[in-house]
Amino acid sequence: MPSYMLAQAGVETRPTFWRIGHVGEALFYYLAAVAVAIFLYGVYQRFATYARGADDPRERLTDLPARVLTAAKLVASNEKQFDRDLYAGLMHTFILWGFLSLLIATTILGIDMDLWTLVLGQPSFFVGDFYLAYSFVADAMGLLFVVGVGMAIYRRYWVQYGRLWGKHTSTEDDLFVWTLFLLGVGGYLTEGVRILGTSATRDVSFETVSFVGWFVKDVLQAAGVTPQAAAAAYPVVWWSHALLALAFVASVPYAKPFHMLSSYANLVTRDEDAGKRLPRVPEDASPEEIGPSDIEDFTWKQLLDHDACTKCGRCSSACPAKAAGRPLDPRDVILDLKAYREGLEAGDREEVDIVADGGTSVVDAETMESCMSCMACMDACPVDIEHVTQFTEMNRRLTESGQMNKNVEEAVMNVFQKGNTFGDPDRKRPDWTDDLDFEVPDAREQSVEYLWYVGDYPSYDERNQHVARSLARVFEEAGVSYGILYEDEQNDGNDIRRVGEEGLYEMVAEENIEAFQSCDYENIVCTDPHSYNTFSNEYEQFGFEDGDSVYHYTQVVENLVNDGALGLTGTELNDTVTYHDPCHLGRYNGEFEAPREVVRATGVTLDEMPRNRSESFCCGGGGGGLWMDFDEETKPSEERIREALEDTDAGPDVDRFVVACPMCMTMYEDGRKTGGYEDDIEITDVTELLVEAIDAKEK
Amino acid sequence: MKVLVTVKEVATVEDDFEISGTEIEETYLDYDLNEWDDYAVEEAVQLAEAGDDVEVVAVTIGPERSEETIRMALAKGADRAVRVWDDAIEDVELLDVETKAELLGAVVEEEDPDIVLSGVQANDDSFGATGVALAETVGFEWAAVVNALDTEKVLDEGVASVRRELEGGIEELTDVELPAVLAIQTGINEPRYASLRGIRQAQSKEIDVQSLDDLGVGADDVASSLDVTAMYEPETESDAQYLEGDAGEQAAKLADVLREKGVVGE
Repeated sequence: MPSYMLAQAGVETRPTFWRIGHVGEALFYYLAAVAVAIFLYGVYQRFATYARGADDPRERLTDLPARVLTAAKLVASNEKQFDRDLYAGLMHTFILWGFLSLLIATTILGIDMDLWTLVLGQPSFFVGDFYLAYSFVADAMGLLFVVGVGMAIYRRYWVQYGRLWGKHTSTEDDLFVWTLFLLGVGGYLTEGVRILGTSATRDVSFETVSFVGWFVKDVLQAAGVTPQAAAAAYPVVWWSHALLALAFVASVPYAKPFHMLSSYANLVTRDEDAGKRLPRVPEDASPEEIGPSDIEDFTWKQLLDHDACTKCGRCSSACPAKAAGRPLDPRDVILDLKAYREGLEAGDREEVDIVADGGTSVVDAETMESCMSCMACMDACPVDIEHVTQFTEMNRRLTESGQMNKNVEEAVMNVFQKGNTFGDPDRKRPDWTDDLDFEVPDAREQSVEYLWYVGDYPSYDERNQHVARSLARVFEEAGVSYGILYEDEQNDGNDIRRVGEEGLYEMVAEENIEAFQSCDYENIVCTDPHSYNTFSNEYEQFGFEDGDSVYHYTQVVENLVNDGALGLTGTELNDTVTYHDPCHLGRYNGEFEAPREVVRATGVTLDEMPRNRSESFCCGGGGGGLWMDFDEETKPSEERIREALEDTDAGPDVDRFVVACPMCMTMYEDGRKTGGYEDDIEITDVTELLVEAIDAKEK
Repeated sequence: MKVLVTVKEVATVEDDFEISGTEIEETYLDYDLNEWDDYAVEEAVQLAEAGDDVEVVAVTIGPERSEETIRMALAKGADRAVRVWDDAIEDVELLDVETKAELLGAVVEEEDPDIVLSGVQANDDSFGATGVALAETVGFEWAAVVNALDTEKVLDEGVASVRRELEGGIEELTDVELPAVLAIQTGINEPRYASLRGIRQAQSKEIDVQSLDDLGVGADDVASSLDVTAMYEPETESDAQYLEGDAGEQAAKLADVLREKGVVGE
């Protein structure tokens, strides 16, 4: 008789399949096989669906071992869960590591029973010190697991934590968390009943290493349960636990537990440039073929994105469009697409348009128009779902099917006809230089170190013209070799691309590249982070080779300041200011410090808003927002100025709201007026602050 | 069914412009599809989308440059286009309505459409008469300033059931027998956006250039009865006066001003 069939006094181990009998054991193995088969079939089905998806334009499986390793590190560290939310980070860490430990523990036991002793005929190693250590670790990690699940339950049901609840919250969410809880608690109950039951026939004092199970045994004893009653009840307790575990295994691919595989796969196949570099459309694609019309038009990675979503709601809670009351909830868009696909597969939904105006489509046109392409959702997503890429592709569908928003259409037509969003003639583009008492060099006629791409707003918008003149003064003051393109500059196309007008984007990109190439320059410097983004990350798709030598002006100016080219002592100004990270400079391209360095070099006190750096809150102008009118509860710009005046350390003593983006300037000048903040705060660009410091120095 | 849409490339003037002689200098002009025609094109394309086998033909009178504009109509869904041009037309300083109706009439004779959609007016010369004059020339029924059209009735019964906007906020519902010319008012629909990819794809659609000879119109027939005698920018005069005081005082002062200016009697 194999040793594991019987509990022998004096041998420290535990009886497996105690009181279950041969038939019961065979039944268990049979059910386990069935559960695993159901699991495998479900996983196969899911991945077969992805395999049917359209090709993804990005290479996502190259260097697979490194990808697997990076994804494993992300999962193991839970760093994305800790981001902005310590509680959720701890919760997920406890559950993940608890779950993995129990999985490993069960696997070790399986190896000992079925492989080591049964197949290889070796004496069991599940005894003595090994057993004691195993029991202790498993009990400790199991406790961690139960605590983690308890934290999840507390937050979901007791606190009713806002972002966890949404349109797509359903029974599967309840089932998932309660199943895990019952599995954890049920494991200890089984253990406690077994210890108590076996105490009738042997000395169980060594089982104190299973401290939680021992505690359960004590509680049962105190409640008057005798060892005999425990032994009698054991098969029932054991079978409930076993059946629940097997049912859980079988259900993994069919509901929320699948995120253990899909979210991991999503991290493995992620694209670190997603969002900041949008995919091209094939050159020969006709309007009908651009953007998703059917669910089949989504790429395999996008289908995986939909399945990777755990409904955590981090994207929606970070979304400025949602905060402002625009009809966009990024989580719902992703889950609406998933629900539509599953509905079609199950045959209980009719085929409709993916995106259209009129309310019958899966996603409404207004929802997509609301997106500011600020990437807050993608930054917040713990499983790297690429919302912005999908949203842009849906914008492309709207554009190609003629359903572009009217206000956007006006700006876009202006770019098509005049090369700028204002609809002003190109000969007026350099008019901003008229008020300067020096000539701005023409980069078309002389070779320069910095080719300065001024941009639409600094060229045509009165408020931003002041910023352009300030920057010109800084360049002059520092003796920089620079020049501009005068009439040959055109809209950079970054936002044209993000509202989905890819054809026009291609046109301006090609023409701008041609204009660059006709000049002799070393680097390109941009006033606008939007230009900086598209030149450095996207123009490469159209043959531009100098993406690495494109800079935002704050980066160039930071060097000038550090080199002492402006002769500042750092005592010139003494205001208190706060700095707003533009999405396209910060979150998109990771430049957080250069503008701060420049701001500090003027002598001002820099006070941070709570949402700073990668958590910056969009001004509302991105993704075409600048050209549209929305019915907003509180405009994002107003909310942000409120944050500057209320949530900073200096609070109302903050004198200036410093920006580094012309679009932000326009949005905040507007929000300052409509929000009634005109007397409270000034909007200043980094360069304007610098020019003031230079002037102060000269006095 | 065949739908003919007349479209015009109109000039738009920049904010600060200069006049030389009887013309605005070319530097200050931009060209665009006439706003009203944009709605006419949309209405035609919606007819084509609702019906089987509906052909939409866009027709314009204009120089080669205007192909850029007519291509917008093709990108929005017109099947092909006809562009009427001739040296004899180029020599005319300002085409009058009669001549336009003559030229477009010749195209109508050739194409034999069931329905012609034109814009109410063009936003450069604002004559607002071409549609009706064309109906008169070709002997079609007509309806002007149409702000609603029953697409199904056109397709199923061959009747244009329209709503027309009249003066004083009165609206008229009329059934017009086809063939007919309808002058389309803005707001009748929401014109679709023509994407750049769409415009590029429309390059492959046909634009048939017709000369006077092709249309069987004599050079004398295009002699315009209109001459531009002068062009000037009217002086804008404005005078603002702020009336101080509370509401009662302001009202009293306003009454004085109105009496003084003779707006109201003593």
